[in-house]
Amino acid sequence: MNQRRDPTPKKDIMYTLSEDGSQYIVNESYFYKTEPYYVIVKNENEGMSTTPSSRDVLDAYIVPICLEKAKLAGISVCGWTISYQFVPLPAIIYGLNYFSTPSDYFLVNDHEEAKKVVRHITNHGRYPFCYQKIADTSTVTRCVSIFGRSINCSEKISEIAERIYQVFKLPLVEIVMVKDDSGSYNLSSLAPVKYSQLSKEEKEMLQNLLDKRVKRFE
Amino acid sequence: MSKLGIFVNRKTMSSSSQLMSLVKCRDVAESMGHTIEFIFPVDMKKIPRLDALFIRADTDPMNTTYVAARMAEMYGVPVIDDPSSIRICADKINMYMHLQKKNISMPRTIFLKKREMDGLQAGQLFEELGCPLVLKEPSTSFSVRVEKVSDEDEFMKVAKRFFKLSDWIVVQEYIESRFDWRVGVIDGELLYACRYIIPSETFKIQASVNGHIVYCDVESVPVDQVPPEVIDLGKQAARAIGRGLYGVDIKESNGKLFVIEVNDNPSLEGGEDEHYPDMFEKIISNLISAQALEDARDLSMESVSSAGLMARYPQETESAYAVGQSSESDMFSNDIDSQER
Repeated sequence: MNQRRDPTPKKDIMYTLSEDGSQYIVNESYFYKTEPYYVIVKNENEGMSTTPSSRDVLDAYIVPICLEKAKLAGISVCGWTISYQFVPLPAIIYGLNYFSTPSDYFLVNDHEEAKKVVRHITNHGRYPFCYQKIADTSTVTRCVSIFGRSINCSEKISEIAERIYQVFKLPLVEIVMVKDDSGSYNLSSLAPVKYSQLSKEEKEMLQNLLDKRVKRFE
Repeated sequence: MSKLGIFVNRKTMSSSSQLMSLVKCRDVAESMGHTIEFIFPVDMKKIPRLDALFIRADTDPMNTTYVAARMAEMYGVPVIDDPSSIRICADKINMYMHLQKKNISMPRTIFLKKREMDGLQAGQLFEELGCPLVLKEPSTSFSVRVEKVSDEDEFMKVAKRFFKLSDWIVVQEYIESRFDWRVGVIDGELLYACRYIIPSETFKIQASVNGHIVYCDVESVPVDQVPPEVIDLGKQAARAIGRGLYGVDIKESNGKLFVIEVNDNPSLEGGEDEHYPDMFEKIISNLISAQALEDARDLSMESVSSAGLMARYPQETESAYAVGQSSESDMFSNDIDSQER
């Protein structure tokens, strides 16, 4: 009798997938100094080709680098500026320090709100932050990319997801974009994804890919 | 004549000697015929238009120095410290892995993972590496999160604290010595050598003792008075990391030399250059040499082409900023930001 298996990849589990002599590390996040980051660093030091690389991971999660690299690849990106205090309105704000993650962005529309957010993410002026000035009518859109594939997204977004995978090589990532009046998308950041955030179809897609050749670390 | 940027961060500048050292660096560069511009974190977008960038702020992949280094690399601007050196040296796990790979003499070292930590493991580590042990949180600088532990309880307490900041930590045998050699190396060659005299109250180059910060004394040592094996080991250790500017800390114990760590962004303001008056000239010459430019362009090409990117050099990139990008005059005319520099 066939038993239906739960397609949900398990929280805090890192998967490694070997293909073409390369090792792919699949995890919810790849933050600096975490277990997946160190598995990548160890592989690199042992001469094993690993995707993503430690450089890819930092490039993706550090917002200004992410946008500059994407821009060089021909991907439309939001303009960014580093600041300690000033922020034009409206804007998206990201922290630039050990405690910040691109998942936690702040959309600010008025001065009071901006002041509060800046105080919070700079730890009272201690750290800088990155802002992206957006238009009044812009909206923020998110989409999950699994090895560059996305589900239930427009063709435009699917193309962006594919291009972003070619450039940053993160097997699992959330793409945060700003959509402007003309309907075009500008990349705002790349953020980690929790398995629990994935839709049923996304979980199945990921599980199918993982089922190929996978070694599990707990 | 080249346009050299010196990346600084007012927030992490902690002493007047650091400021004096920056002024000295600027004066030397100007005397060599170059123009100098201090680059602050808010000036990041100016980096592609520089001929070279010298980072003189606390480096770490998670702060703006790494953004600056990576910006320079992507745009083919020679940079010290380069991003790879920051990634390796700012993370002691990565740094020791590089040294181990090249069989550099160093204290016996084990990388302990959070999911493996328990009392039993601590006991085994004492058995294997001796007592006391030194625990290091990987991103520590100025020995802030380096602690000596002498029993399992102490070990567990410190490890637990460090594991809040990193999933892996460094466990190392303790090497006692009254001073550390600091060998400055650039592009694999000796730049300076000095001794860091460890304060008697501690085993670190900087420590808080009874609420007061105590620093080591720096004693510049002429090259003919430095044991050749110290210089050789320093150069080997630096070459294990890369071709940038490094300060290699070496301890001597029972006639054997051990590399304690390799630092990118080494201190240059403590009198390290007393017997090496051409220290800044050598750094600047290295940074703006034709070789450095060629290497930077190669790295830029590699950095971008491996990802299928379109390599563009500074003059071409200005027009490439996306719609919505503030003009430069808007960006830097803000009063509040100016005050923050």
